[in-house]
Amino acid sequence: MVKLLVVDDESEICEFLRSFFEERDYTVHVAHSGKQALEELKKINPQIVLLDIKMPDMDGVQALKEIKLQHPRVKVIMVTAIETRDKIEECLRLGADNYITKPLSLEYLETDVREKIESISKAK
Amino acid sequence: MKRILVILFLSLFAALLYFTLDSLFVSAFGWKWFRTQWVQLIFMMAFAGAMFKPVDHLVFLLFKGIFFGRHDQHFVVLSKLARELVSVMDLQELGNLVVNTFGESVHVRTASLMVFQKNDQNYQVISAYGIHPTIYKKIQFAVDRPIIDSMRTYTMPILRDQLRKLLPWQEANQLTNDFELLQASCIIPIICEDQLIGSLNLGARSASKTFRENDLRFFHEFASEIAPTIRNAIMVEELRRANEELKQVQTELIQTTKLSAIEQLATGLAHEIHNPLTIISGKAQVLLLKKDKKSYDDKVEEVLKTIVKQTKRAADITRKLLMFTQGRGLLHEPIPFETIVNDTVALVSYQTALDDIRVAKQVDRNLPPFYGNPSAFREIFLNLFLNAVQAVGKSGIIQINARYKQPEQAIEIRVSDSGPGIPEEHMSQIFNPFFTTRPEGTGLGLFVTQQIVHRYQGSIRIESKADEGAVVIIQLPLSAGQPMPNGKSEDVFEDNQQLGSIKQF
Repeated sequence: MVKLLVVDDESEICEFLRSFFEERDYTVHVAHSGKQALEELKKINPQIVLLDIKMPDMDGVQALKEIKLQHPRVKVIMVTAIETRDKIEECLRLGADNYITKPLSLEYLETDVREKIESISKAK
Repeated sequence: MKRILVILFLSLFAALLYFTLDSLFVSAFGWKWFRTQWVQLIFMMAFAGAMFKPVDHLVFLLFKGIFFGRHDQHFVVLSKLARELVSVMDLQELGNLVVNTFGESVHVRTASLMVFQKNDQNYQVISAYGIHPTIYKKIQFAVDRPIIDSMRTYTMPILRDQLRKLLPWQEANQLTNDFELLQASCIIPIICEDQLIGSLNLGARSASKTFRENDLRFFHEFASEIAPTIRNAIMVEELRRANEELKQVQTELIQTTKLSAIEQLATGLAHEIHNPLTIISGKAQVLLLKKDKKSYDDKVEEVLKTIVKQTKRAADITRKLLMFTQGRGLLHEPIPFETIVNDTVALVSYQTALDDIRVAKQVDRNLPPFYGNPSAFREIFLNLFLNAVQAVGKSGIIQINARYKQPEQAIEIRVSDSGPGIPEEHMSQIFNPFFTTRPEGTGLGLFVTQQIVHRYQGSIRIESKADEGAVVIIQLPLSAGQPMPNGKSEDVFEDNQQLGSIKQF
């Protein structure tokens, strides 16, 4: 079973993502800040993190840095309402595996998540 | 001195006249009484009284050259000038007055005024009489040039003819060259508070004539008299220049702060709006993409689709706002000017009746390729066209031109209308953000257009006359529309482009 960590300070967003992915047989865990995300990451060891940027208690960019440092094999997809080119470039440079802007297309998000899973199993 | 001369002359005349009359009366008529003392006295007094004025004048005419003549006249003219100059604050005007007065009233061949320029740290001739502007405007002396050094140490007028007597030949040669450059035979330093602020350079009428010591002494006095005035004018000039620079910086600052305020607003706004839109759209999509969709009827599915579609539309609006406030667009491809012009006119005609407005489109088919963000250019044409439509009202003519201008190596876009024109008082504010004369206007159209044009290093200007319409002229240098060079930067760019096209559904 694929484990997914959804990190967003808006609980409504976490909720609909949870119901969407659970329906497609993912195990979904939720965190509301960068700090929480790092704690959850140690506990549940997910394959994929969906990461918001603007959050209290360590933002997504900082969290991305930490995740890539501590868990280099975890795929991180940025899911954010910020779409300035500087931010996009910064996240890609820090190793983000994709950058998707809100509002999002769930179909596209799922396709991307599936691709990342496939690339993980191929690497194995 | 003059009085003595006049009396001497008078006595001489009187004596001569008396002896003539005496010999005439006594010898011819035998009037012996003419020789009596009281007759002599009355004659003398009458003569003196009657002839004083004319003799006085005669003496003046005869001897003015020797005692007070030229020097005296110059003195009057130049003293008057020095007094007048006190009220002149403009350095250029002051310079012109000085050199022209020397040229016209003191009868020198050339006169020029050299002044210290703080910005360039050198001495420059700012005004001259008898020297062509193309020549004197080139004259610039460094602060350590020998002639400047000499003026600074000597502080008195320097004559070219004296150089060879006073200095070793090598130095004299050097200085003579500078005299020739200034076409001067005499250079008078202008010193104020121990600072050499400039010099007055005079050329005598002919080579054989030189200035006399009296003249020089007076020119020197004149120079020290006008020195404070010149120094003040230099200060005023510096202040004015500093003030202009300050104004320029201020204007730029206002523009950038206004922009960054909008940028901040737009970024914040986009984030705050996109999150709730994500929730609305996300929840609708969860329902729409449910595996067992059969439980909904068609109407519900239709509603859900509309929700998703409309939230996307709302997000696009804020995204568009963001794109124009951000410094750079994501895309970089050849701009299809003709298509954009056609699309723009078509788009507007959906919303506004253009029936009685004649739109003349003229896009040069051989425009050289110009690379940029097409949506930015759509925005330019849309803004300008909408403004023109607004200006002509119910009927009129709008012309849209795009052509290549060879001399400027730039693409020129012109949008003109036959509307009422732009009032003079609006011209200075027309590019300000939020400046609008229409109740429903945002006041961002021309501002955003200007920002885009500046981003492509172009220029934008508006020409307008009352009742003759207005024309907006944009010039975009080809150099700013070159394709991206092959290299690493393009990889990142393409990555983003790819993201840009997929991430937004």
